[in-house]
Amino acid sequence: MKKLVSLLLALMMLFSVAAFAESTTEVNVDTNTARENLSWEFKGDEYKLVCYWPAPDVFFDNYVLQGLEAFEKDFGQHVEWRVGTEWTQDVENQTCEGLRAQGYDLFYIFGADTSGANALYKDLYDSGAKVVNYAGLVDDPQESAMTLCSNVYVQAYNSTLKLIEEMGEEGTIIDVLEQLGDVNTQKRQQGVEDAVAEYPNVSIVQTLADITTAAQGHEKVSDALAANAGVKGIIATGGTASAGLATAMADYYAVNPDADHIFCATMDQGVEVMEGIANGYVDHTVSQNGWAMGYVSPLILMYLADGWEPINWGAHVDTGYIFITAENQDSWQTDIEAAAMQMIASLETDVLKQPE
Amino acid sequence: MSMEATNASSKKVPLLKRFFVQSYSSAVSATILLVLIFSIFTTAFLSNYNLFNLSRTVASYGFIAAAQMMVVVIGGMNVSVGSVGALCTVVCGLLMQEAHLPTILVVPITIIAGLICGWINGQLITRLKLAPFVITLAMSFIYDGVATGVSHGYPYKVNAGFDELGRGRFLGTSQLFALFILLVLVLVVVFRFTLFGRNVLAVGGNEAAARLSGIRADRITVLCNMLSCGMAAIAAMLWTSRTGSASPTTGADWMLYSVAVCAIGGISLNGGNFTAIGFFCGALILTMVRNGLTMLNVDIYFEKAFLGVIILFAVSVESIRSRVARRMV
Repeated sequence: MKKLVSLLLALMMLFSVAAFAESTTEVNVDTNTARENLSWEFKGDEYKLVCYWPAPDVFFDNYVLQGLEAFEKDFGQHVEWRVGTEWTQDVENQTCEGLRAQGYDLFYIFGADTSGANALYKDLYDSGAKVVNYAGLVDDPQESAMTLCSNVYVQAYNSTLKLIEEMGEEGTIIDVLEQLGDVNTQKRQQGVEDAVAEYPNVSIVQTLADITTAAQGHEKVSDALAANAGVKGIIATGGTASAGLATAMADYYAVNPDADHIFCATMDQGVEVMEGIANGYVDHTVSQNGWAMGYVSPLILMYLADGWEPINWGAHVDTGYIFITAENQDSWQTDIEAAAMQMIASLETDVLKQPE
Repeated sequence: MSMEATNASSKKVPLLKRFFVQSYSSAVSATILLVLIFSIFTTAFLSNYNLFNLSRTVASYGFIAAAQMMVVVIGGMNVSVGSVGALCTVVCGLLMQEAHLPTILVVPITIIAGLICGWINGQLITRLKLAPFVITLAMSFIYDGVATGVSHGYPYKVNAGFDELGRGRFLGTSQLFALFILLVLVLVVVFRFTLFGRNVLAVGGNEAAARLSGIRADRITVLCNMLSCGMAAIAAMLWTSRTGSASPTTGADWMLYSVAVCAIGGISLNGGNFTAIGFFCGALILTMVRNGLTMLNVDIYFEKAFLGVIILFAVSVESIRSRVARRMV
């Protein structure tokens, strides 16, 4: 009887947990207007499209998936989307190869490993499929037709410039990075360091790295704030590190109510970050255009399937970004929409060339 | 040398010897050494804010390690400790954000969720007669999968005031640290003065002998697994209370650190022993090393290597000490 009650409790727990699952926020882009700018009549009735993201992630759910669903609605195509169980190239390879075996031939993939992803892309191309890499850069030489993502270097550089401006162009900064082996992290680090190098009265007092969870970010940032009394600014250039940074800043001010304001810059629009902007302990965050990645990538793949070619093989197509601050925290989506529209409109002229 | 001095020195040697043969002696020595090193080589290690931070982190790791320790003492292992932490974080967050339940209800329900996970682990281990490592590894995927599947990776907002525990002070230290001290005291009482504690150590020391002496080893195994996961649920809530956000990625690195604290603290991974001082120092050492590396601003590219070297050093010292101590006794 006791075991039965325990089992029932376990089942109740699972069902109640599932019943309360959360919904996502919405980005509203007027895609019909954007579609009208396209001149090409697509040849096929059905395109075998696949979208792959390496592991469950808020950014994918909130933005990429919404773009994907809007694409499906607008073009009447189904995109088979998969999210990996682990952020590893191995899982990504197995999933994508399995889908290729099922006949899917148009892939847009976020490379789990910036080096290993190229091998997968090459294998897929060799088997007759087409690939667009998205959401993050991979190492050279490129083995996918193109990469759709924000320019992480430019984002980090400009975010740092904005932070320095907020700091009054003087003081020390803590730079919070994620995984050092990731080429995107390296570009972000370079962006921060290049921006700081332009200001003689600003320096990086400490760099934190190897952060893979928000909890790790929280702990490391808390330690670094203790180690660097008088620090004037802190910047995170990755989404996970930003979540940890935001909770650490909330904790810092809660524990030290008389502490001076530390200017804080983050990446993405995670719940913790947006709460930080609303409460004043995060000064600005960089919003990447995940919606455009989800919408435009399959569109490009349809062009490729119809014989179009990239103007520059392996080129990086910048999906743009905007800053979110206390001033535009409720209206930032309008700016994202404008960037997405502009991108869709320029596909046939700036990104792809017609078959000869 | 005077007679008095000779007497004094002869009295000192047994005292040191007595200390040396204790399984916690290497952990205590390492703690003192690390405090000295970080105090000398960093300016902020002994600052109020850092000590407060350290006290909270020690407490968090202490509860995480306690979750592992509860099964290590019976010679088992709970690979799912972090996944249970993640699942309980999600349960806690959901109950607060979506069900709008008051904290007073959320806390016991979350602990019950942890206990149920432990009960499932324990039942599978004792019924299927498979190694705890294998069972808890498989279960870790399930718990983690449910946590991720339900949350989709989203963090949850917590009830107003829930972060008071994680951020509050008590008698000059953090409330979390006070809770950790309480936990250590409870563990001392349980392992030293209760039948349950002695039975647990007996099962860990020699399960076959324990069974022959009438101890219901399977029941002890299930209870220890329940306590382990219950502790993971508490650790999850403490961490959530500190960060003010219930993130489903909580617990991702708990497994490694929970085992490390036990090993550093002189708790045999084969089971059968528990030392409260060693356990406390183990949590302290691991936290100080992580904190100290940031304080020292070590090269970020080598940070993990430094952490590994220090943990290896601490564990090796304990291994060497125990061998020397065996010869001395």
